[in-house]
Amino acid sequence: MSKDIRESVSALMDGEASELELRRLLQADSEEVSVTWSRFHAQRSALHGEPKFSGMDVSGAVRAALAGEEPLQRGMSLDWRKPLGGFAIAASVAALVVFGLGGTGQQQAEQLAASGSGPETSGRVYLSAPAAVTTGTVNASTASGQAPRFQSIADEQARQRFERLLQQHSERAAVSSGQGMVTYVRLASHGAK
Amino acid sequence: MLKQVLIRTLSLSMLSLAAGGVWADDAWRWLERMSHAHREMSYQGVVTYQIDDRLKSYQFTHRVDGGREFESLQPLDSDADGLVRQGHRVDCVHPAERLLRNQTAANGTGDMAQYYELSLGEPGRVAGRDVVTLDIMPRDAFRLSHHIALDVMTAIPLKTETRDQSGKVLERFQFMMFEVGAAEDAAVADSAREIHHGELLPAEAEAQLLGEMAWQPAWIPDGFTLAQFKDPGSEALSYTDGISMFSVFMESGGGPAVSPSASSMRSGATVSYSYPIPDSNLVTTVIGEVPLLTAEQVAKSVAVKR
Repeated sequence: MSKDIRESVSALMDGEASELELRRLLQADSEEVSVTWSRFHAQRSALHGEPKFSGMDVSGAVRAALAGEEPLQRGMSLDWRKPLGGFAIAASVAALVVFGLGGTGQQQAEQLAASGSGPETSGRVYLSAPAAVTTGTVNASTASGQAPRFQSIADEQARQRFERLLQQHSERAAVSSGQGMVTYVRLASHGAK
Repeated sequence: MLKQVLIRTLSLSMLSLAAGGVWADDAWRWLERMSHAHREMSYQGVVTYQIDDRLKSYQFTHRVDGGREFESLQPLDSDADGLVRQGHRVDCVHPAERLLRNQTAANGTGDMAQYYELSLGEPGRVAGRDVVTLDIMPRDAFRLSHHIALDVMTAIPLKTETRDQSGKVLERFQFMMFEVGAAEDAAVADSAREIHHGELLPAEAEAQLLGEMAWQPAWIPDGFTLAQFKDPGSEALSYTDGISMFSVFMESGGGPAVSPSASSMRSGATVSYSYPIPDSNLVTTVIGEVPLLTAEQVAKSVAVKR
């Protein structure tokens, strides 16, 4: 396991990854990155005394790796939820993140994103255990503002689509989720008629 | 240090194994009770809904009249229109309820236990009433966790928190005032909108529906089942695992002027992931109360036939 990768993943989790580190991760062997990523998450949950996922099927390989490895000091004292909590909210809908899907003339940030969601990780990824989480998770975290370097734009069209589909989804969820009133409140908070 | 952590993690999982048989069954029963209790009774109150630092409050009324549901939600801190819904019959069983019934029939050892770990927490007080607390933890990366406080008397949820996998609260819903029983307001009732009905599909019907669709996701997380809706006007598939739900939509992409990009939005616990289908003018959007990872994987698996 390369030290660079480890440090970059750690920085990404802290929301402190530099452009360079992001590039390094996106270019690195995705298997190595994902194993590191999920292992750090497991470590953090444990260190923060969160017994939440004790029932999860953490693969034997990860456990073995955990046992043989010295503790990672960097960033452990930080509250890693902080960068997650910092995401900005527009009037009624939260952050919009656009990932470019390649093609020329795209902005650099989009190309960066594209190399993370490109052919090697797009399509179906069958996850059997958290240890198998792919770089898809890296993208996932960007939407909650963890890596603000991805271009965040207020796209009116996308926002409208979101509100329209959210309404249709919520109407369905209201009669299916077993938490009817909660879904109605979600609907109402979007100004649905 | 790490050794201790490991030992702790392992012993916690052993503890939860030991606890599973005794308490989990009870927890599942509370959840199953909740899934229909909130529809069967009349009650009203003031509820708050919080996303990050935004807080909204509503006057909420749920009334059962002649075996039919009526719901009204009026904002207390804005001029926005309220929401009025007229449900169908109280005795019809909704998809999530159906899954939960199967679960409790199996004494908490049914399929849903593969995907969620349930436990009862410390009792407490919400809106001046005694509550039992219920923790719903996902066992994989494809679901969110929930913390629910249920009224001891009625099993109606008085507070729910939806959290992401790191434990961060994405949204909080809570009654400030709650009372059983609700008065009729004819003026509001007149504007009520009928809601659509959904039901779980048996395997053959599911295959038939999917056969009629021009597209379908090639992958959904284990444990999610197709729920069908009488919802003409919208081409969508909705899936539920008994606790959470997501819907898959297909729309035309809006012409070549629109750049081919995937986008994602979030509001509270609800995320969406829109993905342009390669070599087509179609965009698929997955939206629901699931982690973005789930929405993204499902969206990217959608395949158009021929």
